[in-house]
Amino acid sequence: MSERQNKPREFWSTPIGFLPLQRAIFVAGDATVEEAIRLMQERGKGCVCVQSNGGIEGIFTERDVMHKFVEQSLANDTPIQAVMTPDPVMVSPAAPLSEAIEIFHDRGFHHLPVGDPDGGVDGLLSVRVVVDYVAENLPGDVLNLPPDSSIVSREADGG
Amino acid sequence: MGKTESQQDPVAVEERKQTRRDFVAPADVRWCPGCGDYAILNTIQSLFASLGIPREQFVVVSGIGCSSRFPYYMNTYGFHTIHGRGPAVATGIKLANPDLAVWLITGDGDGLSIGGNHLLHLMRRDVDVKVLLFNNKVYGLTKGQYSPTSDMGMVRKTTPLGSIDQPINPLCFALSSEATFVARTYDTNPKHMASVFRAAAEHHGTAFVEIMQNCVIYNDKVWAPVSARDVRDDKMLVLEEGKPMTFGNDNQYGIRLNGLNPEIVDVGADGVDALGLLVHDEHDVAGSTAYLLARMQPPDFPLPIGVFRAVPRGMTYDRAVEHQIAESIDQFGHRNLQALMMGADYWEVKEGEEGVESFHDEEYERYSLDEELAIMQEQSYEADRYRSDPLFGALRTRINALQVHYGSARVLCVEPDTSIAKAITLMKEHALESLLIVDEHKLRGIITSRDILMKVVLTDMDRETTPITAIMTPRPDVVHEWNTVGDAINKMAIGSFRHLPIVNESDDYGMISVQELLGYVYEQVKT
Repeated sequence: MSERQNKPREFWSTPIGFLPLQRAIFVAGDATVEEAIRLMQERGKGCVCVQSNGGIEGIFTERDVMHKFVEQSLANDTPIQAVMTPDPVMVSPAAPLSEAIEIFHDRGFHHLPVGDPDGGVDGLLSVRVVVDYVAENLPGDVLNLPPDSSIVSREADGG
Repeated sequence: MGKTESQQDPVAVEERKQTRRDFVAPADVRWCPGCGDYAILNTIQSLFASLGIPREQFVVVSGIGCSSRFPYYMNTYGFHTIHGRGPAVATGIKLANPDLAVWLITGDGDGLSIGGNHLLHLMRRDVDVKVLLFNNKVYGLTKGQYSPTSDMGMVRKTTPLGSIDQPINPLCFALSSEATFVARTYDTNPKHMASVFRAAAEHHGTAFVEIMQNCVIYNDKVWAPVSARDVRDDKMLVLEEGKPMTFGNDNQYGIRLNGLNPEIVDVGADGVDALGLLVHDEHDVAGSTAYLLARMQPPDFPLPIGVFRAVPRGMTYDRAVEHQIAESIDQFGHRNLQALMMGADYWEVKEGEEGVESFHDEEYERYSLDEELAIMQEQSYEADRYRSDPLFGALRTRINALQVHYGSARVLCVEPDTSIAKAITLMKEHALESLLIVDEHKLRGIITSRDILMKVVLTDMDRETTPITAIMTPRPDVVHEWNTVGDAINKMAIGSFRHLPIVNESDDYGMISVQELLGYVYEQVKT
C-alpha cells in the first residue's frame, strides 16, 4: 500500500548499526575504580567499557557506581574487575531496533554495547539516541508537538 | 507618462503664488483636541506652500494610525494605504512618476513595528521620499497599547506591570538602514520643525525625520521632561551645522569626545574654542558621529535635535531606475510586451508531443464536484487508517494509561533540605535512579544518579551537610498525566532527559523513564 502503511514495520526493524552510535570509552583490565570514575567524569559519560585482549571484558556504569561504590567501604584503588559487570549484554549491529528496545525496557539499561562479543565494540547505543531516532522519524507525532498538546484543538482553526 | 502643461512649467507656479490655504483640505480634522499632530499639519501646510512646487505635484502617503489620517487633511494627492505598507506604495508612486514630491506620514507603530521592514528597504534604497515619523511612543488610534518606542516600565492596559521591551531608537534604525538624511524635531516648536522639514524637502534621497509628538490622551507629556519650555535648554542639544555642540540656557555645557565616547564638559571662562568640542558636520560621510549623537539621550546626555546626517548619494533610487530604463532603451530600442512574449525564451507545448506532457485547463475541469468529494473521502479514509496504526495510537495515548504510581516506590519526593547523603541512601534503598525535590506540592528540582556520579563521587563535598538543592537540576520539565506519550517523548528528545516527572490532578508527582516509554510504545506495536 502507501508508504505510510509500511513505515512502522520498517521503523522497528531498522538495523541498530544504522543509528548513530556513541564512541565507547575504555579502561584497561587492571585499572582502578577511581581511574574509571575520573574518566567518566572527565568525559561526561555514564559508562566505561573494560578492555580485554581483542574484546570487551566488562562494563562499568553509573548504576554500578551508585550501588557498588558510593557510600560503601570500597577503597578507591579497588580493581575495576571487582565492581564491573562482566560479560555484558551486547547486540549485533545487524539486529533490529526492536531488539534493543526490548533489552532497554526489560533490563533498564541506558547503554548497550554494539558489536561482536569476541571481536571489537562498534560503539554504544544510548537509549537517548533511540528516543531521538523515534522523534526525528515521527516529527508530526512527536517532535513538532505544541508545548502542551492537551490544550490544543485537534480541529483546524475555524473548521 | 501624461504630464500636463502646468506640471512642467515652473512659471505658472510663480504667477500663482501658493499660500497655506491652498493646502488645507475641506475635511474636518479628527484628532483629539490638543494633539501634537495639529502643529505638524499646520507646519507642513505652510511649508508646502513655500517650496515652489505646485500643489498637484505633491502626494502624501500614509499607513494606519492617528498620524496616517494626514492625507485627508492635505489638499494634495494622497493615499491612505494599509498598515505599515506606506513605504511600498510611496516607492511605487515615486518610481512611476519621479517628478512627484512624495511624502510619507507614519508613526512609531506603523513605521517601526508593522511596517518596519518596508521602511528599512525604502531607506536603504534611497528612494526620494520624505518620511515623517510621528513618535508618541504609544498606539493612540487603538487606545493606548504599548508601541515599539514605548519606554521601559510604561504601564498601560497591555503592560499592566510595566513594559519590559527595549524600545527602538528610530534614528539608530534609520542610520543603520543607510538613510541619507536623518533628523529629529518636536511638535511644540514649529520654527524648528519647519527648518528641518525644509532641509528634508531639499535633500535628494530618502529623508527620515522623527518628530517627538505628544499624544494628549494616551501618553500625555511623554516628551515633556525633554521638550518642556523650562527644561528644554538643559535637556536638548540643538545641532547646528558647523557649530560646536553646546547646550544649557547660557550655553554653559559642551559635548566633546573622550576616546570614542561623548562627554559633557563645562564651557567655563576659557570659552568654546579651548575645549576641543565636537563641531557638528551633517555632511560627514562616515556615519559614526551621527550614530553616536543618535544614541545620546537623557538622563546621561541631552537629546540632540536637528539634522544628524545629510549625505546625498549622487543618484537616488528612482533616478537610477529611470536611468537604467533609458540606457536599456538606448541599447535595445523600444520593445513591447508582445515581442517579449514571442522572444527567444518562448515556446509552445503541443499536446501529444513526445516527452512533453500537455497541461491544459481540461486537467482541472476533469473532476466534477461529486468526484472531488469522493476523492476527499478517500483521502480521509487513508488518514484514518494511518491514525489507527498502533504506533500512532500509542503515541497519542495519555500518560495515565501507563499506570504511573504516584508517591510509590517508582518515585520518591524529598524535601529541599534533605542532605545528599540521605538522598543517596534513599536512592540505593529503593533502587531509584532519580529523586524529585518537592516543597508543598511544588516541584523544585530533580536529581538523578548522573548528578551523583558527576558532582559528588570522589569530590570533597560534605554529603552530610550539603543539601540536595546544591546539585539538583532546578525546575525540571513536567508533563501532566493528561498529556500523551508523544508529548513525553518529545520532551525527552528535546531536553535529552531520561526521566520525566509526571503530575496528576491532585498535584502528586510521578516519574516515567525513557525505557518505560519506549517499552510501552513497542509493546503496543508488537501486539
